[in-house]
Amino acid sequence: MRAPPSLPPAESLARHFFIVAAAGFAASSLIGLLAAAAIALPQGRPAPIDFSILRPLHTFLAIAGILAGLQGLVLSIPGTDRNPWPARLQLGAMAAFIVFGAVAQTLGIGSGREYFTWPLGLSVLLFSGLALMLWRLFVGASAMERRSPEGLWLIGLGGLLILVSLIESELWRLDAVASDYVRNLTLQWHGIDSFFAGINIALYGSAAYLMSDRPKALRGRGLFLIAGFGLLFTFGHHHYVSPQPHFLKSLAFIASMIAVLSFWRHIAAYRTLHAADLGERHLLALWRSVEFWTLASIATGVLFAVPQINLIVHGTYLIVAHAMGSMIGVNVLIVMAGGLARAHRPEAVSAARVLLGVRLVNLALILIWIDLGAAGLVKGVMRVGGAYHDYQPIVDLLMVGFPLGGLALIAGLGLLSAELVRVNLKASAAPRPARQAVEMT
Amino acid sequence: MEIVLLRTALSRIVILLFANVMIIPVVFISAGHSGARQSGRMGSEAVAGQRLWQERTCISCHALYGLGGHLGPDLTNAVTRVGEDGARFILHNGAGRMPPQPLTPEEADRLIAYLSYVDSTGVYPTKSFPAYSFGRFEKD
Repeated sequence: MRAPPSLPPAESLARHFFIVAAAGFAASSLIGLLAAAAIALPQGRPAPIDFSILRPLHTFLAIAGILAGLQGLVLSIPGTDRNPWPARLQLGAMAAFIVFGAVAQTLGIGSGREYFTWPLGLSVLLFSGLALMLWRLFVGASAMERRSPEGLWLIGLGGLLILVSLIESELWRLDAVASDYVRNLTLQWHGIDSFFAGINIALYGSAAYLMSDRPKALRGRGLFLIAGFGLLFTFGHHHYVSPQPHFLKSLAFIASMIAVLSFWRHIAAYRTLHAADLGERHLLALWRSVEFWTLASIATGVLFAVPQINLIVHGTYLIVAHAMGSMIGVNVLIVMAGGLARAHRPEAVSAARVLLGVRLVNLALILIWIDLGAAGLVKGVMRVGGAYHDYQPIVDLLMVGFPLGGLALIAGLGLLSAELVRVNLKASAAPRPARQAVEMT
Repeated sequence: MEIVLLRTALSRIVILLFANVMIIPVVFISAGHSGARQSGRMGSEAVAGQRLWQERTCISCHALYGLGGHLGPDLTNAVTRVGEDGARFILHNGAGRMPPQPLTPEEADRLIAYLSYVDSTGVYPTKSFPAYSFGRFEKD
């Protein structure tokens, strides 16, 4: 496709990343629905596709979509570099990562580890693409720092954390790690925590940068230090109940409780969110949902990190609900919001379709929270005095409703993904108008 | 000096990235000398079992210390619960949703060696109150 003449070549490539992201979300939703159906099947009825293929593939496609969307958002930041070749290489690396990763996992070849589910050799492709993204960002860092220092540190740190976590995810190959279960487990979850923290802050930074024309100054040093402490030490709360060193658990508990401050900050952000900031009704609806699910994620994250509550919720579907709320309600919707805000034909966006899509995604997440929440509570409470065979029949019964949430999610994400693809495909047919409204100057 | 460094976005990135990377050796060293568990390093058979656990994507359906899938039971203390022979029987014959696993007897032994090792590191989930919020690592 030829780039529209009104955009620098590197920036015009962003639309390809948005299309890849939309495809990833759609595929992940479909695989997720199959996985939900496999869970809802009665005991003794084997699923048509092995769950050990469906679950990692579903996770992989969602993460791949989010990472493609992140790269699209960062490429959309204007004025950092006009050379299209790094962006083309970046696109090639990401496409190869997704294709090879999906094929391998469909064939049952994966890492067998949580979240970094792809054959870990493919991390080289992902690493290369993200490194090119960061190179482009840092080449224009001084100009960007003048416009939005807060945006620069969020995106820059987030991207670098993702790279470090990709290296950390390979440490289990060392004998000193592989042969020590506690070391292996603790490093693995530090890597996972850094990976998602990196994704979250880079997405939030890039979307906030692109969608609002208010300059974002660096937050105060005190707030920065508090945020930094939380970022560095929450990782231990993912497995309080494992034999990881006690001081890491205590640090994680303190860091997690400090996240209450972030909760209040997001409440203020939610209350002061106005249509005037975003310009479009559908963008406001998307960003309101992002802020709502961010609040829900922080609130449940803080609650679940209270050790006495964690004892009940850990290892149950309540954690899955929390993860889905964060990944879909926050990360995926940020990509949608940013991708639609940077659409090459913004006037072509159907606000009605986007609004319907947002409502369906919100409805789906609420249904999922209710269903998984109930199943999680049953397991968390009943397993104290009982065994798997005591609580699992009730959990299975509750999980029959899970595919309903999946269906609503497919409808909502399908609508949003189709819209994201449509307005970005149109860019090849017609040049983008001179609108640079969401840039920060 | 640190306060001056915090004035720019780039310096903040460098500081937090450096701190994050420095945590990795701290975790590496402290987790390797954790006094909370009973077992030492895994034997070669258990390490091979761990590889098998990953290759067969057991984590999709099962969890250890609550980390993993929820379709099947948590296997942290599976060997204590059903014994090595019971575990071997389930692997070869399947149970509930789990189909029989295509494992050679040697592979089954490796997997059970890994699960036995994990079993010896602690107790999960808690089975009584007052509960141990930060886990329990001495065996009954």
